[in-house]
Amino acid sequence: MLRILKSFSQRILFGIFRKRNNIRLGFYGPPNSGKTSLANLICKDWTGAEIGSVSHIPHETRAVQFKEKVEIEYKGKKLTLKIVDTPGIATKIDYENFLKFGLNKKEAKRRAKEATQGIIESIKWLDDMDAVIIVLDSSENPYSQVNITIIGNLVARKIPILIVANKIDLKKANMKKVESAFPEYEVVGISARDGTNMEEFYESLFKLAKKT
Amino acid sequence: MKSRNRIRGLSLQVIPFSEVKDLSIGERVKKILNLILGNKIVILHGRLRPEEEARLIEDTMAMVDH
Repeated sequence: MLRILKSFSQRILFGIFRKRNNIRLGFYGPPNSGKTSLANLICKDWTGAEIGSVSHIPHETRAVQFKEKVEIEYKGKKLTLKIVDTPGIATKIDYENFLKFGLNKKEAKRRAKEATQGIIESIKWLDDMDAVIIVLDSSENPYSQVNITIIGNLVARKIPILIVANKIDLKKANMKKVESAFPEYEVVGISARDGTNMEEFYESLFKLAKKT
Repeated sequence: MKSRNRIRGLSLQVIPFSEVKDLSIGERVKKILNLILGNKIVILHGRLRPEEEARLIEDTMAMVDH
């Protein structure tokens, strides 16, 4: 009897342990919403090293990048994550848009080509996520085809999501608009640039991890 | 404006849902993309499922030749 109870409790404990550890956490969203900035902030806080470079030019991340075993300890709770930062998903890429940022034609064309490949990679990775943070720019219109497609795909795959409304430090930011666009999901407003409201973000991250 | 950028009229094509309802995701997306590549604006009755929308984006990006 004692052995059965012991084995039962070990299975339960293992189940909890397995569930809360090595969660594959994806960062998805449109280009330039701050996915890498947020992933960098988390990785730098807990591992001391960043995950990738950021730029004001869209499609800076053009390949999926990872950080394994990111251990987060917050208010006595622990979480181990595999952070998966993905290229921004867009329905349209035009190399001429990059010329405005000072890139020459050759560089712009290469960036556009790599960006299209990055989008394909991001979509392919959707199936491998345990949970996803959707990073949106709170100063942009949240009712976009890309946002609706990403969320629809995650819901269809039963992957738990947390919506992060980034860039709340900007004057144009409209957190309420993001909340009203996705009323059935939790939305956390942050600024990955200056670290505003990261406490609330970590609270929500632990809640998200429980759903996996 | 260069002549190649000029719009010389629009061509719309309506796809009734009955025409795509029995197709697989791949076939449905292929049908839509073939029409779009023929410079047609496609109006689809009904709507695509999220997986089909993602596949449409994925296949479009794979076909883009910069």
